[in-house]
Amino acid sequence: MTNQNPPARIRDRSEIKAIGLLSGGLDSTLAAKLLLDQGLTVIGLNYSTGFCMNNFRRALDRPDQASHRVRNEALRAGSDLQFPVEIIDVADEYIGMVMNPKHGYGSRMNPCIDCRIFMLDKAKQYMKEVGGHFLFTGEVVAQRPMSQHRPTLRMIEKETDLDGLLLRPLSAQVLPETIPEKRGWVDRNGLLGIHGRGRKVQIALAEAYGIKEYPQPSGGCCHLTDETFSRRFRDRIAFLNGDQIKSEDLVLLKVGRHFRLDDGCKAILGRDEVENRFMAGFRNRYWTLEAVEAGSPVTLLEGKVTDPLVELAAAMTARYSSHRDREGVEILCRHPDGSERIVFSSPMAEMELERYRI
Amino acid sequence: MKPGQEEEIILNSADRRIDTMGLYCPIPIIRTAAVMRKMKRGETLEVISSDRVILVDMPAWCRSTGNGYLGSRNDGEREFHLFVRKGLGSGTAGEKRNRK
Ligand code: SF4
Repeated sequence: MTNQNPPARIRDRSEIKAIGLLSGGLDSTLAAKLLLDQGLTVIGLNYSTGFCMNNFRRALDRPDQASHRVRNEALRAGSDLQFPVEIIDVADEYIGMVMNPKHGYGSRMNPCIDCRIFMLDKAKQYMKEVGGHFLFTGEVVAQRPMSQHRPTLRMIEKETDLDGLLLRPLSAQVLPETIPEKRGWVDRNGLLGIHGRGRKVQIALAEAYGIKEYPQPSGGCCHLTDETFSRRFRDRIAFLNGDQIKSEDLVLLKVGRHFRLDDGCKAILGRDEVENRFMAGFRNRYWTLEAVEAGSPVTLLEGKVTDPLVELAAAMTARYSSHRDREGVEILCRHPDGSERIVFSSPMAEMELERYRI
Repeated sequence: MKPGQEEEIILNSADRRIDTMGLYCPIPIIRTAAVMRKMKRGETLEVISSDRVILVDMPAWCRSTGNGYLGSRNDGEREFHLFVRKGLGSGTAGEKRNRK
């Protein structure tokens, strides 16, 4: 049960348990810090949605990628500030929401309002399980176009049935008083009134608190805000029933060059050695093609594969191989069951290639 | 026992072991947390992973949740063995469920 009845007199604020959505970015780190400084017990929740760019970069494992650049920032925040962080995998459920968001999408395929509602609902459930008192986030009023305007923040609170139990420590002083403030669980004077897109206050605070290692707010952390990914995702939905899409299928939308061969089949061509190695890991699930004795992309065929489509994909593979200037290129085509055959293919012309590109 | 000897023994034998080879972040950490919930304080766990960044994340997870990070060894270029010891725990939902 949510613990809304703490002792009448709080002798020790550590009796108050605050549960926060923690991305590990500067804002959520600072929000946690403000509450820790008031002596509360803080738990950070980091939901893994399957759309996190960092996680994908890790899976690709480029040799020149420094580990600290792709570490889990929520864990880093929990480690630096010494409070527990729980990572929770919600990928399969999350995709259901992404397919059908009640409040629609942002400029790409990002359903930011529904995403917040989804995570807060989950956090509310968690709060009940651990006897938490309230939730908090690092949201700043009017910082982001879609999900952080004042009426939207209010609406999210209502839809999640968290009226008064959702604290935004960075903007609390410009928002109505919440239950934690009214009951003295948190001192409102120790919270902030940040508003708008500027980051100066947060950066100054980070300096004052000695928080040095935080990721830059580039906005580039969610695949759903990425134009290329969103285009491929739309294509995927258009040609496959939404309920057939699993979170693991989405992995391939993040890699390679994509070409739609027909309504039921697409080709994905690796762009470099790292992508090729990654895609080769799917050999036992998909047809794969590669030019023989040449620098070549690994090509995956996803969907219903027919002989003419294998030939089409072979021509694409030849075009991106180091033998692209030859009249014909030998392409090794491998069935997921391991059987192989060689197709002799002319590299596809650039103009024709563009007809298929997603 | 000489200093460091205990750690050395643990790096070769832990009470439990999980293999997360080929699994993408953050699944190895999620599995680690799930197994640790079922363990007793002081017990050790070996986590095998092919994700090199786990060498950064695992110590952070341990520090955040009040568990002990004992170290790691590599078996080849892409096989990391990490060793953790169950500590006081984090008081998270899983911990609480486990206490019931
Ligand atoms: S950018 Fe992505 S993770 Fe962030 S709120 Fe929007 S949909 Fe959710």
